[in-house]
Amino acid sequence: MYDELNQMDELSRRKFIQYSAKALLGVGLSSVGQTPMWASEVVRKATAKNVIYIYLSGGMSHIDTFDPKPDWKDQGPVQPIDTNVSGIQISEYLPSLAKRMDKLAIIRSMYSNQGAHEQGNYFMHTSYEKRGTIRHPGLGAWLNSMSGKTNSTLPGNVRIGGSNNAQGGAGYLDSKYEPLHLGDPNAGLPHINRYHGVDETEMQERMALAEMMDLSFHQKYPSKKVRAYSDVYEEAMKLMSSKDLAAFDLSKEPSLSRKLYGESRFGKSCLLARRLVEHGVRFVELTLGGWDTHNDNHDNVAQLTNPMDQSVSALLDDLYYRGLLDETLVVIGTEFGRTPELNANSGRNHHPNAFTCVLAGGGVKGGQVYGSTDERGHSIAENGVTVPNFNATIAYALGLPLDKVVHSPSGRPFQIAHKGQPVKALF
Amino acid sequence: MLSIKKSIFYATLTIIVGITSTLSVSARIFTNLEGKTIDAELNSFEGDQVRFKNLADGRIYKLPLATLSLKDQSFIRNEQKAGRLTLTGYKGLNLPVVSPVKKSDLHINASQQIDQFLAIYQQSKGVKPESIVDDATYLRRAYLKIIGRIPTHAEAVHFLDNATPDKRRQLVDKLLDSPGYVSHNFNLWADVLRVKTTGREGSRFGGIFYAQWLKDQLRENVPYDEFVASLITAEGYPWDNPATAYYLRDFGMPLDNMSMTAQIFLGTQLQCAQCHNHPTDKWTQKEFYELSAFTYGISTRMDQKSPNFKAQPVMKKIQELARKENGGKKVKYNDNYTMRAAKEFMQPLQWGVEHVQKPLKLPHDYQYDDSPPKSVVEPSILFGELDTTELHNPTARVESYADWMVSRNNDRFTKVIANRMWKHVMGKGLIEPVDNLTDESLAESPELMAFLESLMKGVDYDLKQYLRVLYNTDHFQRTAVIDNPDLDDDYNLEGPIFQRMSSEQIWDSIATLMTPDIDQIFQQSYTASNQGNLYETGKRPAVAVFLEEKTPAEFVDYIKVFAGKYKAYNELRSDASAVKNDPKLKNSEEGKEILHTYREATTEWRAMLNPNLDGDADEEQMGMSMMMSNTQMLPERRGKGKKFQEKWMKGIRRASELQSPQASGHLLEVFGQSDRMLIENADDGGNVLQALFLMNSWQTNGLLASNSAPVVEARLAETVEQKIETLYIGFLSRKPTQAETDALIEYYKKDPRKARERIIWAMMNTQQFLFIQ
Repeated sequence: MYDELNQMDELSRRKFIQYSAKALLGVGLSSVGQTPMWASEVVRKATAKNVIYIYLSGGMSHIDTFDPKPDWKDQGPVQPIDTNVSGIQISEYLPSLAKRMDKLAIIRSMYSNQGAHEQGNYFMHTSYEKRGTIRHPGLGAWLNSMSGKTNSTLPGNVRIGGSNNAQGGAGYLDSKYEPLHLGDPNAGLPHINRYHGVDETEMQERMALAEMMDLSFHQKYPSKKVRAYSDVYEEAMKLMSSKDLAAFDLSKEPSLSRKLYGESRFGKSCLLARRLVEHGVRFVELTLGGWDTHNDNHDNVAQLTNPMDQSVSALLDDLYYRGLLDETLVVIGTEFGRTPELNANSGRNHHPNAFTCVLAGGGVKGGQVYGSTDERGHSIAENGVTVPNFNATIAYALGLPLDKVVHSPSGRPFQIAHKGQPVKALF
Repeated sequence: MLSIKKSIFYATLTIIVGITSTLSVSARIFTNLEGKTIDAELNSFEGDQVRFKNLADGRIYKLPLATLSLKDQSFIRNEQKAGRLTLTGYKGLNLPVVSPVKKSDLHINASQQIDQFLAIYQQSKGVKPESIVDDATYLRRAYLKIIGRIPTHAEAVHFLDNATPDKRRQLVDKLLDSPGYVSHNFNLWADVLRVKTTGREGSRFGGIFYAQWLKDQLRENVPYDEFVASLITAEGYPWDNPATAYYLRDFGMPLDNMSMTAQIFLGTQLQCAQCHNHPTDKWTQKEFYELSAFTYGISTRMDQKSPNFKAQPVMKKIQELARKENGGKKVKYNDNYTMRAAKEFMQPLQWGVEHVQKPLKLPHDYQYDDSPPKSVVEPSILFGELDTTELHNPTARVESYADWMVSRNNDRFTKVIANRMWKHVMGKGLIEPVDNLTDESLAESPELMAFLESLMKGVDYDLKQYLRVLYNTDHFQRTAVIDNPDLDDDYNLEGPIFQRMSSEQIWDSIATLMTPDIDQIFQQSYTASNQGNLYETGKRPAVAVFLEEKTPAEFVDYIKVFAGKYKAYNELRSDASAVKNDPKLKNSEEGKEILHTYREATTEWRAMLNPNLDGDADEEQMGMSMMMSNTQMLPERRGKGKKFQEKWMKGIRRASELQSPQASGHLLEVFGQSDRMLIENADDGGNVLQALFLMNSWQTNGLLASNSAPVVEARLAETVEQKIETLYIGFLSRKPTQAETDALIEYYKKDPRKARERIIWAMMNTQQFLFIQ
């Protein structure tokens, strides 16, 4: 069999191997979004089909947002307020979210051992520590590689805002799981239409010509990176012919909903995320940056929470009224918290010992707080949640097999959330 | 001990030793009517006179156009029509001189020694070296790896047709001396040092001064140890000493800044040890703090009480004035317009670097037994030796720290840069990652690593000379090897690494296709503004100029008038926003009047905040007007599309001459340019947006297909075969194979225009365009 394999040309061999892998793993053969065929007993039915992951890069100050400490001397000028769930208070910077507390599950006992942005961010996105020798996949890539797409023509993994070089891409998985990055939510998909005067036939002629020119190049350099470009072109062609491109077009949205989400770039990103999920994109990550508040913490946090409070609230309402919240897990994540003590520049420094993340929808029980920190928000007081456990919780909601060992091309064994265990109490 | 040169006073940034324009547009072989040839660069074409620089003897010749062959006449006219000769209109334009590489053969046998070390290594691994690549492959690689772009059609033909046996070495020297060298290496260091010309980092933290300064360091080929020392010891304001942006970049984060220093220059990642002992390396939290103690006294906010804060006498007078205005009572800052206006005006003075006495204490939750929490830490180095006599003088302390850092005896310092530059040339460090070395790190070939370190010392940290040695090895000329990072023992130094072009290389190559003399277009100055204050490269903010040129009394008088304007603006602001929010009022005469007055007031106070101190109108930038002439060749389009196209054309400059980094959605970002948030954060992966751009954009289908330089050149070719060859050389730097030519001729027979568009589209969408073989 190996001889036969070697006699095939590169493309057929890849297709064959992919097909065999799919057949062996059952990947792509099960109906999409359902519990996959290889489900072992640890995998139960998925409670969520999609994820909207809101990543607050820079490290959100937990005590100024979801974990207020009114009696702490360095709490600063921000007060806690009541929410619509009795007994739970959050910061006054989040008045709209306070009214939607019944939909939120706040995890106040997150902790990490990564105190630098790059490493912390990588850890949050992959559950693994950053290593020079391997790139680990992010959750969006895991989800799409393990349980497939809902909409075959749209990308299964999209990232809005932030930088093109953000963490948690396809890692060592196939590059087709790499998120499609949209810098500006308002811009739609650039260059999605064929250039005027180029019809389908001409396009095929051109592609064939490019392939001819590359013939000996491809023979000479059978590199993974070159092959990735073939995948990318395939995906791009599929996307161009999609009937669901309206998903990317915010102008199709009534002005009222645009208003509810707010005019900020982040608001538009949230709106776009909803449209994408609605059309079958399974994993959408949005980035809201600027949380590295080493200087003038309170001014900056007040400014940052303003759009966040409005837009995330609008997103939750919108998903709820459309009946999408049950199947869509909304995640608010960040790489670490910030020190309870204010520094000389009225700022707060990095604090991986304790921080807060939030979940909503997708089968997670709302109106709860999980875990707690001590009286100043410095250390975990109860029910600490590690970063792998947090990611395992998301994967658990999606019905992904946490104990499944997947080998990288170099044969190293990895698991979705690096042996993390889901926090089942949240469901 | 190495003596550290004091940072240069940098007020005269733009005045660089210059020469009068000798702009090479394109090098090619010209033929006259008698059939004689001259291998020359075309300099200019004015009246009927063509000016050449003969490449053989470097002399300038003038010839009447009519004496040249018809083909060459047509070529020159086309170049002129394409806007590529307009540069010569700038008489006396000063172009910065790139410091030439030493052409001695002294270090060339070092290239051979490197190859010998590699041969021994390959033997020990039982592998054979890759073969030496052909001229076309070498040509493209050399241009991309030395100056960061593909060769132009003319450059390619010039090299491919050259029969000199020594031509590869000649090319290396020529490229090392060209402006493209500066551009390409700027991209490397901008990524490492996270240089930003936008946002707060660009403006108040001095990024726009820093970017130009960095290019100057490369242009002047300042030795690496001096360069690093000038960063570490930088003091003052960024417009006076742009190297201060190294510290200002991490404003308010001195500990993080120290981690970056250790990572970049010592290849040691200490950031874990900031909060606890390093889990995988040997460093303790105490050691982290001891090293940080050297630079903790480097303050990035100028203390208003410090003697370095020169505005003190003026501020004092203004406070007195405000007090008088307030009937002698103490003034709250927010209640007094004179005070507020003064603060607005003085704002740029807040951000500068000074060396102060500031002890560093261990954190309150320090958990180890060797010291109590909150105890003061004495500076101490990680390894090696240090002159400890003057550790309590803030400036001397920083200088001895820099001395230790860049010392020849600091093996780590040398190893890191020798390895980083090896990676720059060959695609992969002998030790990877290049900035995370530990005592256990073993180079791919330790003997070669040791040799490279001694070479780096031998050339006195002259990076250009070091690179020259590497570019002249056989190794650099070998077939590229695919490196699979997932497989550990896959690569045994058989040749350089097969890589995708960096984002900047892709962008710069596309720019080259549009504008063959792209290397001659410079960003003369960057501007950036922050809270109303305008910053411009090569200039000092008004407040700094006034402090030198005005007496305190004159300065205060200026502020008085300024405060009046500022007050008027502020008082009108609420009226204006009331009008803006009321649609009825907005369209009324009264509303319009209010808005008009408000706009005038805004203009007036802004004009006083950023007075034009030179008195000269903004000179039109070379790049701009050149692009304007290029846009004339565009197919007629109107409205939005045309505006977009013109804007895009104006933005065609090398990546190093654009904002750093480019905004989201720019081609540079789409292809993975670093966002400058983290050290070396560029990405070379493929994505759907890249494919969509290459397939469907106006740039591929319109601009490159109809107006690129190879197209202009191909129009001159007589036969279809020659046209096809011209396009191939222009885009792919190689000649077509016979099979390719045969297939493409068929296309041309049917419809030449369509054939051209199709061929160019296809070339842009090949992977060989994107990868360096």
